Amino acid sequence: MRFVQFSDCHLGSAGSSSLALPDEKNAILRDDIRDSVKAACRIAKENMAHLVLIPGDVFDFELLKPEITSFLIDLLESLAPTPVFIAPGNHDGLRPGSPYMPASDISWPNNVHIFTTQNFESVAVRELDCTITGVAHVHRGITDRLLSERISRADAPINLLIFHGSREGFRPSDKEYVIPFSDQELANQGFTYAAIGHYHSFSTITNRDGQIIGAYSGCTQGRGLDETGDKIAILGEINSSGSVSLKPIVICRRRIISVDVDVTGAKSDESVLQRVAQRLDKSEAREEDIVCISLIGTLSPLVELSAIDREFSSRYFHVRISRSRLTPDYDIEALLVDSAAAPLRSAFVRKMLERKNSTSDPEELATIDDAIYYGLSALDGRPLEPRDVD
Amino acid sequence: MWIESITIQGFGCLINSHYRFPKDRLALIIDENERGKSTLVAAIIAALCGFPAKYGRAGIMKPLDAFRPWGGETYAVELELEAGGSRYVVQRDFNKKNPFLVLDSRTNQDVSAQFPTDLAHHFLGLPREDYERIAVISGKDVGQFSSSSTIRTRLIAMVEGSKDSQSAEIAIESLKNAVYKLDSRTIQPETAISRINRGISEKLDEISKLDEALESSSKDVKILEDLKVQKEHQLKLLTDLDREYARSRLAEVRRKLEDARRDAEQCKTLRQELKELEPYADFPADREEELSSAVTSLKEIRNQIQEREAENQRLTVEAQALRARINEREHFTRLGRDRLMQLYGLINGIKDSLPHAQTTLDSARRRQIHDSSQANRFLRKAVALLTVATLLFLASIATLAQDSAVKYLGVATLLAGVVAGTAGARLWLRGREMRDAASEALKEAEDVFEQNKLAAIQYLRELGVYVSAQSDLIELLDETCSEIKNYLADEDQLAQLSNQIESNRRSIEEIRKREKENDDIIRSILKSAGLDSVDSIEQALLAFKERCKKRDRYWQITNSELPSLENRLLSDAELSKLKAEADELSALVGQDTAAGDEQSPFDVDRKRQEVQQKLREIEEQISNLEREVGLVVEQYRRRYPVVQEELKALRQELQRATRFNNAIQRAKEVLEEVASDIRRRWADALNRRASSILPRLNPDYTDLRFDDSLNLTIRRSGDGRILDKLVIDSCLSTGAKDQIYLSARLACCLELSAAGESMPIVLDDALMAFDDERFENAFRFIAEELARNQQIIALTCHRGRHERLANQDWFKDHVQVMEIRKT
Repeated sequence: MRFVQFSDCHLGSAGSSSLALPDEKNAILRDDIRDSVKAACRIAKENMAHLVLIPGDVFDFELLKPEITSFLIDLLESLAPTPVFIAPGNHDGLRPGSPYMPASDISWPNNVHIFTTQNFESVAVRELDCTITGVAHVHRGITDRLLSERISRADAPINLLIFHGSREGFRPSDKEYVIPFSDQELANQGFTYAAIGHYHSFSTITNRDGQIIGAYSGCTQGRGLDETGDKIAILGEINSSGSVSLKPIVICRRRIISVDVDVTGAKSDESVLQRVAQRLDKSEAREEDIVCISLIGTLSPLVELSAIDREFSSRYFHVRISRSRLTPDYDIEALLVDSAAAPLRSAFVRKMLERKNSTSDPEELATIDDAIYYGLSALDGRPLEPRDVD
Repeated sequence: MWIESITIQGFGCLINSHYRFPKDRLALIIDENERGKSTLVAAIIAALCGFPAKYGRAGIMKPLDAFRPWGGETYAVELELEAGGSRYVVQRDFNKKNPFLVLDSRTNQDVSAQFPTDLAHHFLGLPREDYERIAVISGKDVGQFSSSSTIRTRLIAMVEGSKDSQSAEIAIESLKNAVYKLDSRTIQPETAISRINRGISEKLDEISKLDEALESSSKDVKILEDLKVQKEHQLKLLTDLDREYARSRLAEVRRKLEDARRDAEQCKTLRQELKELEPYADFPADREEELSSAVTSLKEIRNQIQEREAENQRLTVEAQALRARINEREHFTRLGRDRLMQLYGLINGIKDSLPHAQTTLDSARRRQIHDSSQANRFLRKAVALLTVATLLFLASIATLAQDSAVKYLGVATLLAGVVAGTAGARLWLRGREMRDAASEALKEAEDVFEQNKLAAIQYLRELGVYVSAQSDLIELLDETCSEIKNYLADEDQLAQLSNQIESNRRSIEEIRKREKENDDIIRSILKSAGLDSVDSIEQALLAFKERCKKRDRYWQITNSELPSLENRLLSDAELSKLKAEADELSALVGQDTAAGDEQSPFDVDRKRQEVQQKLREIEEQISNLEREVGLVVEQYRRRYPVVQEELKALRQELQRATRFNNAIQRAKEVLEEVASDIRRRWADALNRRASSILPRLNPDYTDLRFDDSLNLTIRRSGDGRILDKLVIDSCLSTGAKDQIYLSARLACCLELSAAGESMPIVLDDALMAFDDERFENAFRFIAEELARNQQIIALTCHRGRHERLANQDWFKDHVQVMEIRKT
């Protein structure tokens, strides 16, 4: 049995503020998201998938517009008679005004089944000899450990699980904690395969024997610095013995490429440009990509950075340059030179570096870097301007 | 360290110059202004330390370029120095990319690799900037004190290595006053953080409210779901009722068609009946009521007559019986009613008083018996007492004649006899009185009783009642009273009956008159109706009523039934329409007519309207709920992303402000700590050394002391008074301040030299503000005391001052004068 899995499309949303996309580019990115969903459906058609599994966050509830719903309905209807199963996530959960709600006037195509209960329910697909068990999020997400107890289902040769949840040990720090589960809990459920949504990167979950028991397909189109690289849909195959194989297929047109460029020691714009260009060449960033360049290291105040924007903005769809990780533009080494007179500046820097060496907390390290910058600025009689924070 | 010589191939305005500095004395370089003294100092420093790798800010010429010879000649210096027990030649060609070369003077080998370019840093531990700042003491620096520039601030600038006099205090103050720009306003970072937090809190609150509003509308959505189910149900109901209505309406239409046929037939029948009743159309039916009333009235009158006559007959019999009974009591009749009533009153009175008199008599008799018995007892006691008295009297007489002792007994006996006699006499009198009183009372009671008895007998006899001696008077009186009372009652009743009989008789006469009047009316009506020939009134009345009915029927048909029926009759068009409707409904209903007759179309339509009304209500509820939910969702979708974005921006702003604030606080804290350490360390050093230098520069002051903040005090030699910072800053002359500052500067140099290599000190007109006497003292101290162990290169443009000292032995022994132009 073949299936296609994709999720976390977040239709209606735009690029995150970290990308600083202007409105017109955000509009294009929204179209890109639609195109990625279309591409996922195209894969299902081309590969004659028997099932399409969408484990949540198809759209952002608060940004939903009627045309998005129409788009989705038309698109999923075009997959008929292939059954499509949607397990609403925390962003497209069942809330008043949601097109998933039974009370809504939205009429979904017959081939689309939307799970609408807060407890797992099972649907049998007799012609495929399989069951699909799914659950829907309501409000802003279910936080119970639904997988800690045995999920009841009607047994079939193939039993699929579809839900939107948080795999423990892999949760990005800014991700909501919804339907948490451990790999072991998932394995204990004994499903043939679990299509999971929520995390925005492709990843697989295997049991002790190394067999795939579930996977996140990730989001369909990157929209922020935490969604870099290719975004895919999963083309899965379950053979007669229940063994699962997955093939990620790229569906996003536009990638987000994030590169760090160390500019320490660069004496001129040209030098900085050269380093950035070299780094970008290695990154294989394409013309249609969104490129985020983070300058790191130290940089002389005599070096202007305006040329970088001019130079690269025309090469890519969008270029974002972050200077927030540049350390103070003082020659700390020179300031640290031993002096019998122990002047204030070097003593101050030395003390600061002592503190810096005594901590590993990134936030504290950043604060100390800033403190050095502000302390020296104060000693130089320069105005104290807050440094950029991403 | 000792700088032995410097050879300048080209440096600023100095070309091909060579200066050799004496090992054991102060080198004094005298020349006018603009001749290259400062350039020489710069050349020495450049030769020793090189030029700084980092340059100043944009717009300021780099030092390397500042001293580049104008003619493009050689730009190089060579320095011979002794340090660490070795001698070196340092060559720097500033036109070269790598200008630095150090040769061991002894071997002439290149030992550059062993040294950094900054030799001051290497040998003295002072990087170029620190060495220049500390060891090069310029008169310009020394002589710049003013009201705003205190010794302390200059010292702090020197020891803290702060350029442009930007001390830690100013920097700390600057950090304290750091501001954050928020919404185009510059405010304290803490205030900004607080405001941002407030903003975040407001946004979170709004998000929470939006969420709550949305979640609370979940209930509405549930209701909506129910309503939609209800709507479906009602719609189905309505469809059923539509069919039901069609069936029912078909039945009704068919009924109407049947009714129309029946009405047409009935109309025909009525018209025939009307024709038959036409003769009675004008019958005076309007008098029927009058006739009926008269007949009824006549009947009642006749009944009344009969009743009155019967009653009079009954009353007459009753009166005769009464009269007979009255006549039986002729004694009463003879006495007349008035005397009878009078006697009745008298007998009644005696009847009441006689038993009382009898009782009084009986009581008097019992008293008389009792009192007589009591009197007799008194009399008997009196006789006994008198007898005793007599005996005592006699005994006394007998004893009185005896001897004296017995005589006394006789006297006593006599007295006792008198007492007994007196008592006996009193009892006698009392007994007599009691017997007399009882006799008198008895007599009086007997008189009263007798009078009453005689009166009663007299009245009874007047009423014809026989009274014998054995008669019980009381009983007789009772019976007689009762009889009188009955007699009088009979008389009254008889009178009443007579009156009633007379009244009835008069009434009968009146009624008979009315009987006659009614009879006349009846006859008149019957005559007008043509029924005067009928035998009896009853028959006439029946006939009258029969004709009235016919007349009424005629008019009922004419006025009501026939018009009503005619109105109801359907027109041909209406009939055709109904037939068409029936055909249409038949087609619609088809064979399903089973329940068609159970309910009327009206009932079905009413139900249908009820269902439609309910459906409308449900639809309205659905519409309202959908609108309400829609508004909430619309508001949520309109505000939520905006608020989220605002929240995100605020959080980023908070992160920025917090990081800024934390960093500023951290910088301030560390700067305070570091500044405090530095000042404390330098205060110790200065206290050790400067106090001994100051009296040599200015004998008026001693005991220069610094605290941990580098605040200083001195003692005035004249009066021993200790002057604090305030007095020093505000009262001391500029010269005195110069001398204190120079003492401190020299102390710094000595302190640093004592820790390692001796530090070459450059005095660039450092004593220019001193008066002649103090100048001489200070210069001599420096030359004699300091220059002995410390290389001192002094530069001045004040030739005369120095030439005046040139002849003094100490000057000759400790100073070597050099000139820029002569070298």
